Amino acid sequence: MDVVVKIAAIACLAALIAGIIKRGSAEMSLLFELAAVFAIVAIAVSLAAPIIEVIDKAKVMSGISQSVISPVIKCVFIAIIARIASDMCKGAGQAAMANAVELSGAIGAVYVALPLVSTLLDMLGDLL
Amino acid sequence: MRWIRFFALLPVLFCFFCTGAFAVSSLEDEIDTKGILDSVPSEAQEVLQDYSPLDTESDGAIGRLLDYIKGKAGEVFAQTIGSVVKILAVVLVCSLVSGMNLFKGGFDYVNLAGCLAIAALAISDVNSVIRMGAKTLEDISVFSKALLPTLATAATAAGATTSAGIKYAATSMFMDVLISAATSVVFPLMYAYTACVLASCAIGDKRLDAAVKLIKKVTVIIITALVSVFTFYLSASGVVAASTDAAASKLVKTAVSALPVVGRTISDAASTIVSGAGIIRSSIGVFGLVAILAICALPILRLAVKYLLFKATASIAEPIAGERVSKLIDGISSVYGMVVGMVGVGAVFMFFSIISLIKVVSG
Repeated sequence: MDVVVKIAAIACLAALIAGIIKRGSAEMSLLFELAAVFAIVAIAVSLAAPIIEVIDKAKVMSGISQSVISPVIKCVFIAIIARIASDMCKGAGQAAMANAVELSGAIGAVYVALPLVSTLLDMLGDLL
Repeated sequence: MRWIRFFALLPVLFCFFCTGAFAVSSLEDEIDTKGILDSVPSEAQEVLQDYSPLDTESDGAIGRLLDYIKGKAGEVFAQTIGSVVKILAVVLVCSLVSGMNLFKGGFDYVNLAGCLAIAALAISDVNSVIRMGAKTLEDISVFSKALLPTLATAATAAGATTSAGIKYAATSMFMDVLISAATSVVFPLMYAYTACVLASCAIGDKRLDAAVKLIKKVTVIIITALVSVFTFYLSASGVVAASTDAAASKLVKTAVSALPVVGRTISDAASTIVSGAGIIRSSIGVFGLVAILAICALPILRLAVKYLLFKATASIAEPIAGERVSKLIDGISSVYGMVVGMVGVGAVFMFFSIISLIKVVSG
């Protein structure tokens, strides 16, 4: 709860200051926004720790193979990073760059999911 | 004069009774008890133990079957929970981004990875379940080939001269049709269904949903049609053949009763012999029913537990990980449901057949 309040306060304040800076220098405003985003993500990561603990617990409890769960976790992180980067680009008026980031995210996710596809194909091969 | 005639016919009556007793005992000898017991799979033999087809009492087999199911239920539940927890771990990871609306109109690759991971966890299980279903049907078929000829022989001796053969032939034919339909149509359709569900959920293509629904519908129609046609055929042929049996039985009784002096006695003695054969027929029939229950109990328990737990997992996954992951888990549970249906149809064929064969011929 405290963390979310902190994040909300930082976000509102950063948006206000970035708006003021934007009048003088758009580039400086973008840099400021970027710094604020990093700060917010850094705080949010502290919230993610218990979630990761729960996932680890589920992994240990179920005995799920690392090769099955890690592509999914990597895809989740790729999705979050690609989304933030894409929104930053859109905020800077770089729609093409935003699309390129989203596309790269999708390609990266498919790339990390390839071991799963390969495992699945091996299984289907055994079935046939 | 009457007494002289009676004493003269006494040896004939004695011979008749001896022949009757011999007929029942030779019927008992003719029954291939070992063959029937050998056709029962080892897991079911564990339940039946020393229960034999000629035993008039089920010898606690039903109680042992219930104990066996109770004993195995915990083990089966624990095994399935293991698979479910693995799937829930993937669901939990997918749920991290499901509420963020990260892929507005774009390609949802987290769901893709989630569906692939769940498929990697469940596909071998689906395969082993389908194989288990095929093996159970095969076991039922092997058992039916050992039990039904014997049961039909006993039923014929007990008066079902026409109907026993017809019912045996119908069950054998339909069991063969069921096995052929299962191995060449239904089980491949289940694999196709699993593949379509996986593709539909991983890619998120709604157009594949129609194919998924069609395959499921075709599978259900095949299963339902097999049961309906078998039940109709068995009932229709059974009614006609039973009337023929009843008429034949009545005709023989009337003809024998018409014999002077000994007619009525011979008719009563014949009824006793038929009753003896009827007891043997009922004993074999009850053994058959218990054996079928023992053969199907563990596979159906496994499938039912998997079906229910996967359905529950799909319900849990829907609000936290989204529709696609939940639909995949639900699709996998549907495959388990279809295999239960196929095994159930095999058991129903045998139940109907045995019950119709042990039904008393009236008339």
